[in-house]
Amino acid sequence: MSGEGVPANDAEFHDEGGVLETLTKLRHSPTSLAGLLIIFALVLMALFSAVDNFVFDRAIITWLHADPHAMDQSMRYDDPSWEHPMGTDRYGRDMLSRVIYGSRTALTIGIVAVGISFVGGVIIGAVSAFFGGYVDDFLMRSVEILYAIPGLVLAIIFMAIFGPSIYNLFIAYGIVGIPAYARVMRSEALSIRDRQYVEAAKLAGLPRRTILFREIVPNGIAPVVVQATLSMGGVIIGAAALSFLGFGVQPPTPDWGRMLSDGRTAMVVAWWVAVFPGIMIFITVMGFNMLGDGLRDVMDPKMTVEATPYDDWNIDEWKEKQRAATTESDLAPDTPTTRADGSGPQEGDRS
Amino acid sequence: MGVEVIMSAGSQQTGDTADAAGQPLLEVSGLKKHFPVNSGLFASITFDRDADGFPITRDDSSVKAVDGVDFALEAGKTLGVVGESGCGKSTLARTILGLEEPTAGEIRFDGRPKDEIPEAEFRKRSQMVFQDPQSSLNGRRRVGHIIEDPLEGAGWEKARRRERALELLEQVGLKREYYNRYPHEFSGGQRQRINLARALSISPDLIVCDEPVSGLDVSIQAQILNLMTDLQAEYGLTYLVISHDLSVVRYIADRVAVMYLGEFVEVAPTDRLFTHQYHPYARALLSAVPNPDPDMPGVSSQLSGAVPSASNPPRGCRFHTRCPSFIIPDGFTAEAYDGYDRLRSDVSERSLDPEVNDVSSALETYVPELASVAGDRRAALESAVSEALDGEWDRAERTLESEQSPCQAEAPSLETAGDPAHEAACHLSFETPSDADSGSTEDGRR
Repeated sequence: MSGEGVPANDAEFHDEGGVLETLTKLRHSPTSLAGLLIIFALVLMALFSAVDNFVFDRAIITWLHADPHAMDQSMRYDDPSWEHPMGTDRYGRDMLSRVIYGSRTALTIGIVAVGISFVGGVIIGAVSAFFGGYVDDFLMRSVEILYAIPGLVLAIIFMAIFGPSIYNLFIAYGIVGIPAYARVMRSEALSIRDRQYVEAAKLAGLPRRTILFREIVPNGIAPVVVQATLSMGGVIIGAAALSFLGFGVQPPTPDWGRMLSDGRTAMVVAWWVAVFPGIMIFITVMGFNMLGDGLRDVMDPKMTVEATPYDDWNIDEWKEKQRAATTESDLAPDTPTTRADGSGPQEGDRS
Repeated sequence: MGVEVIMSAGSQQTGDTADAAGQPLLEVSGLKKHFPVNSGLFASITFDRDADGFPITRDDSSVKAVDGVDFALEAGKTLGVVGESGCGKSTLARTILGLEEPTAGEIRFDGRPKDEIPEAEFRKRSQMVFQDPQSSLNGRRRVGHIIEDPLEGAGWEKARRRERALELLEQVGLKREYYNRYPHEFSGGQRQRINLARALSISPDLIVCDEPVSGLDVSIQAQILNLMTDLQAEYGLTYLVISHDLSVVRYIADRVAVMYLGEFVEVAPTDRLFTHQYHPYARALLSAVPNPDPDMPGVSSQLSGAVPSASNPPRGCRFHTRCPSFIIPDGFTAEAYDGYDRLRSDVSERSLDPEVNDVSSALETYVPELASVAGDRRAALESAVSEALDGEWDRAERTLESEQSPCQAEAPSLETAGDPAHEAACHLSFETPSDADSGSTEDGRR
């Protein structure tokens, strides 16, 4: 019997590239850990503001600091101070509370829009690669039409048709993102489609839907996950841009893009109104990009993220050792004449 | 260019007299699978500035991976297919199972044409064991579920599937507890057992094994092969085993087919093929098996070079470009025939050597050994060169063609050789003693 009961050594199979395995490898990458930390802090902020907003009607933040919606004309464009660490805006609302509340819309837009693109892109990409032919042509050409129009313009058109609302913003950005995901998924699925386990599934007589979503998609999803984290930042910026242009989140909901846009008019007298939301956008996008970079490194089989023992390995020392070893040994050099046993190329070989 | 060959229908009558009772489970006749070099409308259009007329032509050349294969496989028997890499073995297997659509030819399964058998039924009766134990199992699924796949395809309910998978795990020498493990927890040999269990789960009649053990080390190979033969004896399975490893085929197969460039060149019962080979390729292939006898000289390869391109196979016998027993026509020496061949290829390309300006210099350039060429052959060469110099390329080509070797002129078909069950496709006389030291025939050509 073959080594029955002897579990195969795990180290041999580290090239499997599972999503979970990859995520645990992230601990070796300080950049992505920093990114994760930023995202974790933002998620906490967003969760807090969501719970506070819908359950307690902004009671907690009012008690802690200030109500983000409370206007006070006497405090118009107040400088950053101990009372208002980030100053106040045109209506005297506290900027710090508004910045905290803004994380909710920013993250929701990021997650929902990226989620829509992710699911749509995975389905379109996998289906088009698996079925090929006209299906592939039709789906990919349609996706390329979407690609040809700048994302922001497409989103604006969508918002103009369906009206500016936060839900339409999700959908618009979700659709705009689909092409990138579809292409990544398609290229992955194209290579997986011809793997032997897919052929085995075909020969097993499984329906094509099962083959597609059980054999192909789970094995090709990893790069799409990287794509998702990397584009999260872009989507948040895009949503901020839409809000800046007045199409996205509608007042009085605090939103970083909207706050930037409002602060623009008072840039000279009150720099803080525009700068703090800008910094938040910057930090968020950086957090997602750092995580995405780390993920990409971890998934690249040619990169080593773990600490290696080679760091203190000296090539000169090694060469010296090798030289010593070869001069000591009495091995004859490997020349054709030593191959009397007939191994290696023979002179009589026909060319 | 290749002469279109329809292999003799006689090759289907491979019936072993000893086993006349068994009706062939699988019959393949004239099977062809060609892959277009350029797929799609736009990829196949080539721009050719030198072409006369419209400069855009359509490139419809194709790789002839399998080009006219006939065989019959009786139930409960094993046919081994051997050949070099790239000779179309795997394509043959995939085409038979329907992973590729055949370009031409017919596949009959259990007496019925495969096209008439419903897909679901064919899937229940045929399975495949893949070469690579790593990539033939989906690393994200539990092996129990992988084994159940064919049962799921056949619509079994979950509890029954599970029961059968557990039973199979034991049958292939694994433990029931392994049901919930993932493929990466197993060694290569264990994974190949899982592969076998998957193929067996639906109790098929035919199992096609594409290099079933080439990814395993030798001791594991023996275990898997023994398991395969045990299962065959138990369930009366029919195997089609594709392999490049002759010892594997010798161990497991009842009949062996030697494949070269999309065609079967020799088919014989295993015992017979390993003692008598008629086709020079089969002979060369078998002589390349390392001999464990230390007194024997090491392996000397009789063949060199690579398999010619399957998109433009050599004319006549496909093996003639590498054949150590190439038939030189009477009146030529080997060197002179090489010169003749160079001349012929230049004539067919419509451009002689630029230094050539008259008949004698041309003959001097191409065939320096002209003195050794018999009189009538020499006259033919002379007239061909003068026709070529006059610009009558077609006539020159025809003149040269009449002098060619039978190996280039005509593709041999499979014919009975020595024994009714033994067939070979070669122009050499089959009286040639099979154990002749073909290495001494120094007329091998490039």
